[in-house]
Amino acid sequence: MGEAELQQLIAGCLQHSRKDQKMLYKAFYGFAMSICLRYAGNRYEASEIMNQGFLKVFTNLQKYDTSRPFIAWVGRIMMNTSVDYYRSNLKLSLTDDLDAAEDIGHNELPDQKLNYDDLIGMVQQLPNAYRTVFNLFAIEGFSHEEIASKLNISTGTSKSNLFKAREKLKNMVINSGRLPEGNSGSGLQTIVAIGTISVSMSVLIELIMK
Amino acid sequence: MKEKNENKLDQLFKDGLSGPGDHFAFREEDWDSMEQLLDKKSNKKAGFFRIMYYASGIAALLLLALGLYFYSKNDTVDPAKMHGKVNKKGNSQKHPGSPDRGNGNDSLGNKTDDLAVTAPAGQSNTVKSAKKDSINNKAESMAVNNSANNNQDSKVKASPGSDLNNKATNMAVNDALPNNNAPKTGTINNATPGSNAPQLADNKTPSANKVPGGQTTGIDTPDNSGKVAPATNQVENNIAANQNTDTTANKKAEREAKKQMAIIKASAIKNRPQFSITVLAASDANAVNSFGHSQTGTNYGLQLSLRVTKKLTISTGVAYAIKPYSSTPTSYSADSYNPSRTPTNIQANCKVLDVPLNLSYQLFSKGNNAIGVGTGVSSYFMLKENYRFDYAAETGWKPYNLEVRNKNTHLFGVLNVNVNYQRRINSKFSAVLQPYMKLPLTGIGNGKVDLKSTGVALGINWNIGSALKP
Repeated sequence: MGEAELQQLIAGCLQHSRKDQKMLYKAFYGFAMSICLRYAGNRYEASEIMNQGFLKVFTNLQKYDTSRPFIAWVGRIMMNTSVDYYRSNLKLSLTDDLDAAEDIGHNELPDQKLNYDDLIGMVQQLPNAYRTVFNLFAIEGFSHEEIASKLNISTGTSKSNLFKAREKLKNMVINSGRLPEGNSGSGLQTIVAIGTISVSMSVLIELIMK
Repeated sequence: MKEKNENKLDQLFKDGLSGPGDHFAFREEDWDSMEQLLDKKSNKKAGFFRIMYYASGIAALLLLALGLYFYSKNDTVDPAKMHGKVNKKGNSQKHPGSPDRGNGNDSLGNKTDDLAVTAPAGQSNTVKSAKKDSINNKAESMAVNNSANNNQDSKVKASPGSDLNNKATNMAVNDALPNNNAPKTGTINNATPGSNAPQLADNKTPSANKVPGGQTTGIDTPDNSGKVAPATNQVENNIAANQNTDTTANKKAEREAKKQMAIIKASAIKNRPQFSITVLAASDANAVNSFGHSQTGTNYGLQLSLRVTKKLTISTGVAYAIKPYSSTPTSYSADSYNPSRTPTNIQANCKVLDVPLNLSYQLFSKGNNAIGVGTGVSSYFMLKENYRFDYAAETGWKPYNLEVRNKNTHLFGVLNVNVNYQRRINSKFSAVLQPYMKLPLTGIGNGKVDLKSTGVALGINWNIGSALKP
């Protein structure tokens, strides 16, 4: 979407044009959903949060600073809405060895590429408190201090939740690697494919040489 | 604190999840709920009030239309009925005084009664009263006249107590006196209307009076009155006795006439459409498919009824119902949300605005009690639906809550069947007991479930009367 088109849509939304609101909603649907889905337990909740977020976008559109990218503004609103949504049950804290949290995930991870659906499925299986902290720390890049103030929890809780989140995710990743899934299957296929191609190539070269 | 690439796991997820948001195709139903949010924002509670407004508007219009329809229908039929009744009324009113015409006196039953009461003051009055009195009394006085010599006053006094006795004594006395034949038939003819007329046969009375009027009464009356006059003149003690019987007989006649007038009035009112308001509270069992796993809900409602005929009543209104129920995933037809995740159980709680349109037929009515059966359709306006989806323990998924507001309406989507018992408390109020059943004709709510309800409603019915008085 071009910048001019976006500005036109925003102007229309400011006039409460339902058509323009729908266009804007459609344009940022995928982006907003990708954020909300990370924080949500499932797609139901994600769309509920996303709609709450869009409601904020539409009602606070006059506050949007046009000098900044609109998509970032929308993204921040979606993230804040998600955090607000779960704020009430984020106080889950565990007294674990917090220093160990930093070590998790450094090693033992299989070198594999997991697709989006696998990853999002894993994140969604985390309890709300762990998921929120993991999102804010690992993906958004906030520090524990920032997270603690944002979620109104202690930095200890933030660290502890991150630790538990990593632990659970690591297990999920390792388990997914062990399962004879499509990933390893496709790897085998490529090996077989490369093998057949090289064999046929050599046969071809031999034929030419003859 | 955290440096880039410090944690492989974090990096894995960051890279995997923060790509462009092209994993999600736009879904129209998300926009639908977005629109609802936007609408709600502009007027938060407008949704509920709008539904209430429409519902009450529809209900009022329906009732008004039905009322007018039946009223105009009744109006065309009524005049003939009413006319007949007025005539009847006239007859029944005039009847006790009908012999007065012969004396050129148009006074009503009440007047003759008054006169009879004041009668002892003067002789002329007593004569008048005796003349004015029903033929029955004349017959009695005649009997008194005839038996005066034998001092049978006491017997005569006692005789009005029962009609049969009266007749019998009259007959006996007449038989004992072979004066002429005309008085005999006269007494028999007169005895019948005189004693029974105000009580039972109104229609028969005038005809009975009229038909023999030409033949016998014409001769009879002067004959009797001629006899009454000398009788009263002669035996004053007997007259006093007669007056007693007169007043009691008159009072009786008057009472009967009044009662009849009341009945006529009542029947006239009954034929006009009558409105009543019922306030109902109910507790019911809600279940999907079968009532095996039902849950208890509550209903509060206001119902406006229109009684179109003596037996038929049309009613409509609004009821706020809270319907909790649990459903299996097979009964709950989920839309495109996460089809791969099938919950083990769905727990629902719906706030529903129920707008019924029912027709009820009175089967039985005796004294203060009335029993009727009714049927009709209800429209459900789903104000708020809450669903909790529970997943199997081994999946580790926590229950998911879904809330749907003002999204689903089911116009005439529910069949109502009820039995109602009414007990009158007074002329305006009656208590209502109504066992009912609500059977869906269409899938109810977000999950299109087959939500049945059965319960008992209790309430008070206020009879406003005819709001369309001419």
